[in-house]
Amino acid sequence: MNARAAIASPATRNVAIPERRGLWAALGHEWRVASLTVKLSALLLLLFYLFAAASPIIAPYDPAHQWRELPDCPPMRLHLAPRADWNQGYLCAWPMRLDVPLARHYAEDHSRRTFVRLFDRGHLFTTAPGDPPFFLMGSEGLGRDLFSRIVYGARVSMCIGLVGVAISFSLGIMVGAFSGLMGGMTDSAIMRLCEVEMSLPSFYFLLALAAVIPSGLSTTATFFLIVGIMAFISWAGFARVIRGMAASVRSAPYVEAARALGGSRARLLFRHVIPSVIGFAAVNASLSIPGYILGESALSLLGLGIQEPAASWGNLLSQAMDPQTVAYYPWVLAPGLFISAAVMAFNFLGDHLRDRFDPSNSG
Amino acid sequence: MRGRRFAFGAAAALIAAAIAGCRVNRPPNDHAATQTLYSATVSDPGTFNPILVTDSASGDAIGDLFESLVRVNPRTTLFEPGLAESWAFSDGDKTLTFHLRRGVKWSDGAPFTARDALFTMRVIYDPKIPNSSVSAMLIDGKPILASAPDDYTVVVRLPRPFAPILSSLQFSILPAHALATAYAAGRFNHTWGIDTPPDRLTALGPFLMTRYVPAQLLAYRRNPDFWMRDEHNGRLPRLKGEVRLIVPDQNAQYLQFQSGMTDVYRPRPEEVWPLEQAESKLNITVRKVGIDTGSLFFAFNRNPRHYVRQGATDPRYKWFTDVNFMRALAHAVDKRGMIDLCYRGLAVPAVSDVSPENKIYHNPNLKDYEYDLKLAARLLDEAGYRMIRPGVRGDPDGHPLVFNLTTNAGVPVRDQMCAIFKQDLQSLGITVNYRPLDFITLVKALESSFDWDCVLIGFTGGIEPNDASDFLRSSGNLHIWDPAEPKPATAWEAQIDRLMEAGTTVMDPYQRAPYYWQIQQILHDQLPIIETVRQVTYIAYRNTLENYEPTVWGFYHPEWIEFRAE
Amino acid sequence: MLRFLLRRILIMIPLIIGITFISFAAMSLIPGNFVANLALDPKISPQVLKQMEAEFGLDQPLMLRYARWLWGIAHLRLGVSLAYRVDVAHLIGPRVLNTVILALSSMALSWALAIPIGIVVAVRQNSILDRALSFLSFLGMSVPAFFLAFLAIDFALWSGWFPIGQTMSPDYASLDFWSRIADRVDHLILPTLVLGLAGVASLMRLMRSQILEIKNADYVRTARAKGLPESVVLYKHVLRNALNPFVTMAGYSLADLLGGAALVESVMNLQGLGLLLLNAVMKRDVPLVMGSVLMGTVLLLIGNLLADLALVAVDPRVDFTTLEAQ
Repeated sequence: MNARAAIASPATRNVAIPERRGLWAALGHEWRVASLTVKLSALLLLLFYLFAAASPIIAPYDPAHQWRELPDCPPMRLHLAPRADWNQGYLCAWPMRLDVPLARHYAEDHSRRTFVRLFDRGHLFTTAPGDPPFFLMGSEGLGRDLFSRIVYGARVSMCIGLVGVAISFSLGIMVGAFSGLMGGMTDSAIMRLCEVEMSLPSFYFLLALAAVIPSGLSTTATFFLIVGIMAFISWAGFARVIRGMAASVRSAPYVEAARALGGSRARLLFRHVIPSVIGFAAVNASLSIPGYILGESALSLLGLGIQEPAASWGNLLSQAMDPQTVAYYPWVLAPGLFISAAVMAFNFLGDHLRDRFDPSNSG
Repeated sequence: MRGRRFAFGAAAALIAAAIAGCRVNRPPNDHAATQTLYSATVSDPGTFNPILVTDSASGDAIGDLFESLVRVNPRTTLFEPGLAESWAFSDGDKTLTFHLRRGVKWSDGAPFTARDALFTMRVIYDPKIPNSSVSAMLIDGKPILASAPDDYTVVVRLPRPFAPILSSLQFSILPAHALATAYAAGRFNHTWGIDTPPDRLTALGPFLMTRYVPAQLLAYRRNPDFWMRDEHNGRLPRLKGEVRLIVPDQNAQYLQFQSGMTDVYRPRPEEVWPLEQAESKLNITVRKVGIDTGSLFFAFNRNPRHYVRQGATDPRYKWFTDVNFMRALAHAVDKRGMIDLCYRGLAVPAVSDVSPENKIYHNPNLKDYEYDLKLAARLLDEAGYRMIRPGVRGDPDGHPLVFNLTTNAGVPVRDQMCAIFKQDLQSLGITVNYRPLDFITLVKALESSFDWDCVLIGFTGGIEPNDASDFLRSSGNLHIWDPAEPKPATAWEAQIDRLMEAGTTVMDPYQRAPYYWQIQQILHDQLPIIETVRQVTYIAYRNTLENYEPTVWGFYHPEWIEFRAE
Repeated sequence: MLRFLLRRILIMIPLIIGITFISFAAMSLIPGNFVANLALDPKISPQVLKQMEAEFGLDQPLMLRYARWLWGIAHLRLGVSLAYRVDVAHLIGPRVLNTVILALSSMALSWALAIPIGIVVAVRQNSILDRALSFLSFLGMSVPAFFLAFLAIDFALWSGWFPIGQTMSPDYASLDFWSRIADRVDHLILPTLVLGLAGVASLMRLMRSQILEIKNADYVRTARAKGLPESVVLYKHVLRNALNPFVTMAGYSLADLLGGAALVESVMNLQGLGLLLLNAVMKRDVPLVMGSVLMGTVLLLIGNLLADLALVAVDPRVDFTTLEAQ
């Protein structure tokens, strides 16, 4: 054991496992040492997952409710209500009126107010049932509240990236590292399998799948199916990259030595090879999250994605993406901001974790 | 740092490349000077052989190259002389004699004669040549017999008087001298494919094709020998050439029109307003063309093959064949909402399956089902479909009302229309599971597996009402709610069959119309389908274009279009 | 090495047969064949559809159709497209050159930008420059490439500097040789920028992390301890070792780029393969799809083989015995 410890790979040598403390204490320590960017990222992700977990509370309205007289309505301005009206709510906004329907031009209707009530009827904020709605981020083409749709969309989009990446990357790392470590016929066979997987037209399989999914399947079930498929499609390329890196580690002195000492394959794999590629893999994984979030919307073309009236950030964004919309209704790009923010948060956090747990940086 | 220098080098190279880009001279807009009309189309043609055409892109690509015996006047929707100067019925409307135009030449100099017409009909009737003209040319399953007493006379004999005959004979005439050899050798199906050099296409229409660059453009030049003359005996067409850019993306087409690359553009509803604002800046005119000629409707599956499994009948069969249920649903379709939200107000409610643009055959007397959710709820209650739980309505037997809705995937407008329908039914306590399917999967569900409940689907429409017989007749394959019924399933379907049959025997369009009006009335009352809305189409074109008169049925006098000299 | 090459090339044949067979079989899982495109056309009767099915051989069993297709491939015939009724080679041919040029130029652009930028930001980790470029790259990653394409042609309209889509001017045929080249290059700039920039962001991040990883590795410290100048350490020790995963990625990214840009192609009208193939799949044009699957497979296999060779050349720690030891 001592001999092995002495020649352990640099990656395992001094992994920063703090002395045993409570989980909260450990987290508190991590929080103190983190930079401001990292703190912000963590808070942002926390907020987005809160969106997902508590959507019915945070969203002011039912995300499918259509105010058909208010399509593509711009975000409304929030005011402090006049003191006399504080019994109705402290905040209020002018309702919007569709002025030129063909152009979808709106004007504020100053003849009345709509009061924004906090902690009302199980919502963080909302308006009274008969009142005109308050659109924090405007409305989309069918007059549905964009903010509510974004909040509910977080359920899909915040999960799809993480779950998809988890599946495809764990598969990719295991297969790739094993293949690179083994070399020879095993390596050759696994790599040829990867090539088969990579050259199959995935689009085809998706089409076939779209046809066999029973039409009554729930949105959630469809969602998990999509995540699974997307992950399964993309592991092979990653496995190849990891295998190349593993092949390079294979001949490193510490691995040779460990092998000579009779380390089992599993031990070699988990103690030496995987740690040496995990940093790259982590960065690569956090980089592929946006691909999942955006890619999900492309599946809608095949009838496989999240379907109306359910929302996802990818869908909301792709519906907004034409020059016409961007020029006249820029607020419908808001889901894009959420995607960017989530992507950044994931990546900064990923970078930070890599730096924290990569021993070569601690020296 | 060498790395930094590297990066700066790369950036500099990029900027240099960009500057080099600006220095390539853009060709000026000389469309008017060269009398060449630039337009855009969405996809590549599939064939240049007019008889083998099955897609609209190919039809558009070679539409100006060929002619048929008769033409349709898009303003009156009546027939006009084409390659046939005149025609006459005789023998109790069972014989039709065409007198062909003399002096018409093919682009290789050969004269156009009756032989060409007979050859084309032979090709169409050939069972080895799959084509879209043949089904209209079979009368009760029997072919039309044609003969040519001389080079400029074609005599057509029908098994019985058949009113749609002129419409059936609207196929493009092929050059017999150019294609007879290939046809005799059995190579017709692979003749005049898109790999044929365009100058080898022997044509006689107003334009001849000069160039086809796949995924880029189609170019045409004027046919100097075209037979038509204007009122001053001047040569037609007046344009010297045409270029059609192949641009699959609508947004790109829109930008290209704004930049002056193309001279005409069919805007989507949301583009009409910005273009109208820019009329003077871009020197263009935005004009209303008309109401869409097709029909977009919710169809409900009434096919027992879908519902009866192992002796048990699915309750949905009862709902969809219950006219009271269907009337309630018809009152729940928010056509105004669909028009305002999906078409920016540029659409009209559709009441009948025939567009109002089909001036003769459209029934103007139908009264639409008003959008009224309260009325719909009352109708459902009265018919025994009551609320069984909060938010859930059940049928008289207590089954909750749940069904699947589909359409073809990737069409945002249809997604929106379905979302509107779904939301309204939800408020009535009816749950709709919506999932669009890719087109071919959808087609398979509609016509062979019959595994669907409700579909939002569109059919294109033509002037001749008998063209819809496959849809309207109970035996038809496109009788979408129950295809190819062995015998009419209901009395009203039998009635439609009889009216369709009778409608083909009356020759005068105005006397025929009442038969088809009655059919529209029956569909409106029985509701196997619920009509939605029809888009109002617009066109934008440069002000320098003269005689530019688009209609929903095509251009009025397209040969007269020209650029004004400046 | 020769043995290695020979074995890899020989194994391609069964691989290609296997891949194409699986693809072919997958298509029979999808409901509907090509003639279903026409089934809703009231002018085309079911009899005509049956005739077409027979003419195209779509009514025959899967194995027979596959065997026929394979027989054609053995004779270098890709078959006749169902939708276009011409040889598949005729359809793919004119588009291949465009696509390859565009794929190569955009790849060159993204690599030429990503690698040096990645190095710079890694060397100056946590500086303002690093943060700013990170921010930009994450923003870039959250924008789908087709939207960049919209912005690009919108920019072209607004500035008038670039052509709006297309790969050539309408009067291309009347230009002389040099103007033709200039015209092509002119039309290539924006698409190259769009596709190239779309790839920069993540490549640059990966490069950065690789350099950071290796910068402090033992052998790099050793090199530094030997007193070698930092730039030599960086290029000789760090960069060579850092390139490993990128070499592998380059191997398959060409095959990816060939078919993966359908939406950008559609927006910028690039006359490429992506859109043709997307439509072919949607229309169930089997010979056209199979032609492209075959082409994609060959490209991928060759790309991967070249990548493995390059890996040996670039990464001092990898050799043929590692890759193929018995």
